[in-house]
Amino acid sequence: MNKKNSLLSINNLKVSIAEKIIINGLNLTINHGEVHAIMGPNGSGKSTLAKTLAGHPECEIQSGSISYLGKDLFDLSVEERANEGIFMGFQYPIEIPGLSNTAFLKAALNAKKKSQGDEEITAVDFLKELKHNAEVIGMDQAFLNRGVNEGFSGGEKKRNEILQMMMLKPRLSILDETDSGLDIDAMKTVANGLNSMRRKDSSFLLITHYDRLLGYIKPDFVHVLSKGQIIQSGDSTLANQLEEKGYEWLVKT
Amino acid sequence: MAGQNIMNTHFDLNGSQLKDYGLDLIDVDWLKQLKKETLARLKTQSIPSKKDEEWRYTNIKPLIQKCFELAAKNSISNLKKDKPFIQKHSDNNIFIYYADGHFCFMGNLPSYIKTLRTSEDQMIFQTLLNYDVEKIHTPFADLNTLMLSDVLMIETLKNQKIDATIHIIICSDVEQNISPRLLVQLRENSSIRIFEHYLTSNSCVINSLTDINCEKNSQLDYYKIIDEQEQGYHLSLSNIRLARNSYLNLFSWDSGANISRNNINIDLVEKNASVNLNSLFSPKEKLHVDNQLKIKHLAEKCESSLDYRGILQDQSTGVFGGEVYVAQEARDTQSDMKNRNLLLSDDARINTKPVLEIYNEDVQCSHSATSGCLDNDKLFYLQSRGIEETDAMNILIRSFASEIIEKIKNSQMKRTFQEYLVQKLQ
Repeated sequence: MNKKNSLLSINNLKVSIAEKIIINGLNLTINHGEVHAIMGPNGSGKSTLAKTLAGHPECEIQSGSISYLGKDLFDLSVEERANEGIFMGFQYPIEIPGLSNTAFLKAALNAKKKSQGDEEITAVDFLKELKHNAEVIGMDQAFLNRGVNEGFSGGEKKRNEILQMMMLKPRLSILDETDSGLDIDAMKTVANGLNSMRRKDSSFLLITHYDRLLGYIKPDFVHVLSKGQIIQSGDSTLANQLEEKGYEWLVKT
Repeated sequence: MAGQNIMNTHFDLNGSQLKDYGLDLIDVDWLKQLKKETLARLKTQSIPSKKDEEWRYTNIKPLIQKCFELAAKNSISNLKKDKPFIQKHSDNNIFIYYADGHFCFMGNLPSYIKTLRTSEDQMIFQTLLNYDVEKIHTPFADLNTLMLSDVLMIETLKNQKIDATIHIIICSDVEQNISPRLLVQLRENSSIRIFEHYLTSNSCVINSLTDINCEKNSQLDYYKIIDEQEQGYHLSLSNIRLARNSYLNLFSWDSGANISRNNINIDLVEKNASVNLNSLFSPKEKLHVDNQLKIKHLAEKCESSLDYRGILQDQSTGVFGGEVYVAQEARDTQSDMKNRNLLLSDDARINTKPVLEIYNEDVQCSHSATSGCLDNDKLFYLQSRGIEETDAMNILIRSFASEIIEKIKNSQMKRTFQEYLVQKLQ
C-alpha cells in the first residue's frame, strides 16, 4: 500500500497499560474512504488500540510509530487529534450531569472551528444540523437538552456517540464496540448514521465482537486481533467465517 | 487591647465599654432594656473555641477579635441613600439596602415590609425580639442583638401570594461591624420570594441573624449570595420553623471570606412540612467556608433534602457539618443529605461530617459525602471531542455547579445564579 497517501499508518506498535504489554507489534494501514473492521476475542487489545489512537493517557507507547495524515500522531495532544479529525466512539460513554448535550456538542464543534481558524457556528445553523442528525439516528429531541449521557440507557448512549460523530464529521472514526448493547432497531439506525457518512474523505475503524453490525455496514477489510497483533486480514467474508468457526482456528495457528 | 480580651474564656465586657456599644444613645426604652439583658447574659458566656465540637474546624479567634475591635470603633460608611446603585422598586422587585446599621430604600415599602425605624407599631418588634431571646443563646446571636440598630420585618397576610422578589442587599464600603437582623413571618397559605445578597468591599465583620416562621401551607423561596472581600468575616445564623404543609426552598452560594460561617437551624414542627436546601460554596486562595446545618424532624410525614457542593481552590478550606434529627413521633420521615466536594488543588481542604440521629424505624433517610479532584475520564471524554484541557476543566467545574442551579424553578433567580456562575467560575 502506498503509505504516502494513507490516512493512518501504524508500524510495529507496542503499547502497555500499567506496565503490561497489550499491543505487541501491530501493523495497520487505513486509506482515505476505507472501512476497516477489527475483530478478536476479549483481551486481545482492541479497545487499547482505539484508546491509543485517541491519545488516552493510560496507554504507554513502548515502541513503534503511528503516522496520521503524514504527521507523527504522538506529537499531537488528545484535543489536537480530535481537531485533526480523529473521533473515538466510546465503548462506555461518560456521563456529565450539569452539562447539556447541546452545549457539549456546540463546545466541541467550536473548538474544532477555532483550531481551523474558522468562525464559530451560528446558533441557528447549529440547531438545524443538530435536529437533522438527531432525526437520522432516531434520537428524541428531549435528549439534546439533558445532561451529557445523564440517565441514558446503554443504547441511547451509543446513539449519542454517533450523533457526536455526525456533528464533528471526522476523517477517521474509531468506533469501539458501538454495536454492543444495541437492539436490532437501534443497530439499524446507528448503521444508517454511519452509512450516511461514508464518503471518500471519511474512514472508519470498527471494533466489534460480532459480525452483526457488519451485516449493515460492509467493511472493505476485516482484521483479526489476538494478543496484541493482527493475525489475519481479509475482506468482508472473513467476518462470516469467524461467525461460523469462532476465533479458535486462527488463534491456534 | 481587644486581643487580650480574647485570651479570656469569657466575654469581658466591662462598664467602660458599654458606651461603645451605643447603649446610652438608644432612645427606645424597651430596646435599651433588651440590650442590657443581652449584655448581662453575654458576659456569662464562654467564648467558643476549637475545643467545642461545633467549632472544631474553624478558628474563631480572629473573628471575635475583629468583631470587638470594630464594634468599639463604630465606623460609619459613606454610603448614602442617593448612591446611584440604589435601585428603585419595580413591579416585581423590591430593593432594600442595609448600610450604616440601617435598612434603606427608595420610595415606599409595601405594607408587608416594615423596619424598626419606620414602623409606628414597635410592639410587634418588641414581641418578636423578646421571643428570640428565649430561643437563641449563642454568643453571636446575642452580639447581634447588642449591636442592632434596625430590624427588617417581612410579614405576609393570610392567603397573600407575593410574586415579587424582595432583594435585601447588605453592603458596605468601609471596615465596620454589621449586624443585620431579619424577621420573616409567613402567615397561613401565603408565599414570598427573598433574595439576600451580601456585597462588602472592605474587611467587614458581618454578624447576621434571621428568624423565619412559616405558618400552615405557606411557601418561602429563599436565595442567598455571599460575595465578600477576602479580609472580611461573615457569620450568619438562620432559625427557621416550618408548620403543617409549609415549604422552604433555599438556594445559596457562598464564595467565602476570611471566615464565613453559616448556621442554619430548621425545625419541621408539624405534619407534611418540607425543606429543600441547595448550596454551593467556592472559596479561593486562603478563604474559609463553614456550613453548619441542623434539621429537626419533629412531626410525621415531613421531608428534608440537602445538597451541598463545595468547589475549593488554592489553599482554601471548607467545612460541612450536617445533622438530621428524627424524633420518635416523626413517623414516615424522608430525608436525604448529600455533600460533594471538588478539590481543585493539593492544598485545598474539606472537613465533612454528615450525622443522622434517628429515634424511630419508619423513616427513609440517606446521607452521602464525597470529595475528590476532577474526574479524569470526564476530562478525557471532553478532550477527545477537541476541547482544550483548561476549557474542559472549566466546563467540568461549571457543570458541577450547574447541577444545583438547574434545580432553581424561578427563571429570574436562575438567571441571576447562572450569571454569578460565569462571573465566579471562569
